[in-house]
Amino acid sequence: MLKLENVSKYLGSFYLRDIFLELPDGYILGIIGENGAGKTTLLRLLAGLYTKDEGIIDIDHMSYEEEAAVKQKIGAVFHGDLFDIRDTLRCNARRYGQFYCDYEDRLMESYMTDFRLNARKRYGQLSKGEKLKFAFAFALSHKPKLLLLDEPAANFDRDFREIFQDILRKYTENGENSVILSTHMTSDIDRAADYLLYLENGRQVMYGDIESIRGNYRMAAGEEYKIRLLKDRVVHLEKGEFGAKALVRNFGRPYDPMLKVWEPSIEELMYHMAKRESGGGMKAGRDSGR
Amino acid sequence: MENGYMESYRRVIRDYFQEFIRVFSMERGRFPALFLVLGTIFMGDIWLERIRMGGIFGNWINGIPILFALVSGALHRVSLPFMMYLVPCSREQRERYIQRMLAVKVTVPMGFGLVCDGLAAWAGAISRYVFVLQMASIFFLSCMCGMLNEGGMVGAEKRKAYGELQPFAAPLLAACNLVGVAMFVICMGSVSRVEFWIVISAMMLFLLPMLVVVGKRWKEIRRNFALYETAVRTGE
Repeated sequence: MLKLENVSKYLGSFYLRDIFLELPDGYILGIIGENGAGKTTLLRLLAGLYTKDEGIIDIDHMSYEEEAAVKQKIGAVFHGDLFDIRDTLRCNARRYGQFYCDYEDRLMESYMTDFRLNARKRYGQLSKGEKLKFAFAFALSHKPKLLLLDEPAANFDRDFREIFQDILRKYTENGENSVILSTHMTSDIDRAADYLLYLENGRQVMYGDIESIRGNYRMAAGEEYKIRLLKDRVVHLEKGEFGAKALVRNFGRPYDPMLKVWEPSIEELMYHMAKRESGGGMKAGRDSGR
Repeated sequence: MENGYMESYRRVIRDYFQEFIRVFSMERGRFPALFLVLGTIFMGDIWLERIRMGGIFGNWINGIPILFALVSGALHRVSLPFMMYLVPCSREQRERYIQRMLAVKVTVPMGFGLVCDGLAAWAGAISRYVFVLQMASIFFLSCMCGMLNEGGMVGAEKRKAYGELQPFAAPLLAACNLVGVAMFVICMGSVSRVEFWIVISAMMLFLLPMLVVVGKRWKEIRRNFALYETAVRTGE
């Protein structure tokens, strides 16, 4: 459904480069990385706000040569004032909903009710979280095939995050719709995402289905020297008061029975990847996908 | 979606007038710019001798069409609202929208000026010289601001969308405001035949070339503002 091949974008002081990914229909891709890694840039490329400098972007077998047709299939949520701040939510929804063939006013009203948004309130009067909710409701109401969500959960309250996760699950259940979600909250990735893309300084460090990625690594804790015996399998080692903990690549010799070994969570994976030693750094590219 | 709805004149005209309603939204940059323009006008008015003879604000009503053109120029930006870059429409559609919005941004103030000044001239309140000067300056103001104004002069030199005009955008916008203010003050009083020819010659000599230079680059500017990436790009 979504295919990126060697996509690059140069933005003055920032260079997003060599992005390869393939996301089948019906799955959720989580994009993680530190601030300035290129998450928003990539989402803006996919939303058609930026034009790629190199590579191929294929969305449902269409390229951005057919911009209007491609954007019919895309719903996007970004931070900031996306809509007209002086107009009411209802007015904004109807004004921009007219551009989408599949937009349903009734559905929009239903989402606004479920999300506890007052349709007669002016958009400029909403809090950050409410603006994101409104953008999310609008994105859903025109039934896109691809949802692009740029750190939406950061400003959601705990109750709404549950609703949000539930909606994402139901949204992809039909096997036709896909979601790309950038987030700092690794718990969202753990719960919702099927695929993972890790960006660092504009480069793709890791991509693949989450189970495979997690299967390729292990956390090992114990005596530092025992961990160092794993040599180049060690991605990053962190010394503690009572020993050391490390992220290691899961291949080769069996582990020392004195080491405690477990499959890393996404949070542990990302933490250690971000802090890895340059000598044990990963090569850019794809881990195995489905 | 209705074919061609996005850039239809109905939508463009509605969006144009809606911007006036939004003036009370206190968006950053708009109110300060507006107050600067209005403040300059009224300060200039207070200190000009010939106007003071007619009362503290003189015949300022004669300058209402120029005032409207100044306000219209200050309020409307060339770029589109963010969602217009996100919704399903092509770059060509966005360019057509921007082009039609420019036409509306010029036509409406000119039309308003024609009606007001036409009535005023018919009633003998203004001379034909004032009429011509007002219409010429409204045209110049509306065209220049319509093609260049993107939130005022501050930071204009950093805006990539202006292309070759990037270093000159701020001075050009400043010239627009100065011309507007000057004409507002001039047209509030009577204008003799000699004064008329001096002012119109100065306009031909200085303002017309500016308009031609900007007009020749309008296609590039319009194209840049039709793309989100170039519309918001600054610095570098």
